[in-house]
Amino acid sequence: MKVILVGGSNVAFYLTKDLISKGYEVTYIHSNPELCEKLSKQTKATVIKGKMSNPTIIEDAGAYKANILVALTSNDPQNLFICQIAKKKFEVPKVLAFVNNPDNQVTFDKLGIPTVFNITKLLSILIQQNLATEDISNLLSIENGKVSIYQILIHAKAKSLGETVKDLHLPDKNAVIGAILRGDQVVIPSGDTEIKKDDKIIAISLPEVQSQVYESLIGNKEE
Amino acid sequence: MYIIVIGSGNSGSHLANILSEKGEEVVVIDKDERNFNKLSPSFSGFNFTGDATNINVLKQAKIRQADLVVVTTGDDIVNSMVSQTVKYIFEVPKVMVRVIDTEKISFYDDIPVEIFSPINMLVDKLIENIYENEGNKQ
Repeated sequence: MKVILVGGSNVAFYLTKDLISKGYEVTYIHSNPELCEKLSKQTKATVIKGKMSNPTIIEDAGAYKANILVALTSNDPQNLFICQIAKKKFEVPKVLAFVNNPDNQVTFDKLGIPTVFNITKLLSILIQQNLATEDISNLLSIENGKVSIYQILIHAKAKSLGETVKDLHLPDKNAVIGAILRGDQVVIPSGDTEIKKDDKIIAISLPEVQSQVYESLIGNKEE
Repeated sequence: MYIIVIGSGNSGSHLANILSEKGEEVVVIDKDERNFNKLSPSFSGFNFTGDATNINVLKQAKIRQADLVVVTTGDDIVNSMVSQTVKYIFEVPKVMVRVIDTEKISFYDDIPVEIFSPINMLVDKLIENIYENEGNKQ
C-alpha cells in the first residue's frame, strides 16, 4: 500500500513512523526544508520538498500509483484543493483531509471529501476563547473522530453553574450530556438535574460543536 | 442585480466601483478591511470583513439571494474553495472566478463556474493585436 502525506509537521511525523512500521510505503510532501530533512533522516519515507498545492509535485510523489492521500496542511482551502486534485486528476482511490476550522467541515462534506478533525486546532480556538482547557479532557474519539466523548469539569465561575440541564444552551441535536460524575456518584441527568460545582460532565457530541458545548458549560459568566 | 464580489484587491475593487456606478446592488467581501480603501468614495454598496472560505461569512452576506458572485481574491486555492462553495452549497446562478495560475484552469473542467484567466486574456489580446497589424501591412 502506498500513502502520500501532504503537509503537517508533528502529526505527519508520527503518522509516517506508524504507517511505515505497519508496512506502508510513505511519500511525504512539504515546502519547509527543515521538516523535510527531519523526516528523511528519521524515517524511511520518500520525502519531496516542494509547493504542496502544486499538481506536478503531487504527481512526482507517485499520485497515480497511490492508494491513499492525506492532506494535513494547516490551510483548509489547500487541503480541499489537494484532495480534489488527487481524486479527480490522479484518481487516488482514497483521500482524506485535515479540517482545521470546524466551520469548514460542512463544505468538505458537501464537496465529497472525507475529513478528520484537527483536535490541536480546536484547542487553540479554545485558548483564544479564553476557556480553561485544563478543565477538559478527551475521553474517546469514535469512528475517525466523527463522535467525541469528553469530560468537562465545572469550576466556580462556569456559566452553567446552578442551571438545570434543560436550560443549558447546548447546540441543537448534535450534543448531549451523557452522565455527571458528582463525588463518588454517577448521575444520569434528566432535564431537571442541576449543574453543581466540581461536577464532571461527560458530554457526547459531534466534534464540530465541541467548542460550543464548552462555551455553554464553562464559558465565563457575563460580568 | 445583487452582486457579491469576493476579494477587494485591484481588480475586485475596480469591478465593484463600476458595478456600483451602474446602479447594481454590490457587496464586497475581503478578509482585510484595509483593502476597502480601494473602493471609490461614490461606491454605494456594502463591504464586509471576513474570510469567504467560511460559510458563515457567506451566509451573513446573504449569499443565497445573490444573482452573481465574482470570486477574485489573489489566491487561486482560496478561489477554488470559495467558488465551489458558492456554486454547490449556495447554488448561486452565476459564478465567475479569476484563475491566476494557468495550470489551474483544468481544475475547473467539470465545475459549472465561469473562469477568467488574466494571463490568457492578455495573451489573446496581444495575439489579436499582432495579427491585426500584420493584416494592415499586407
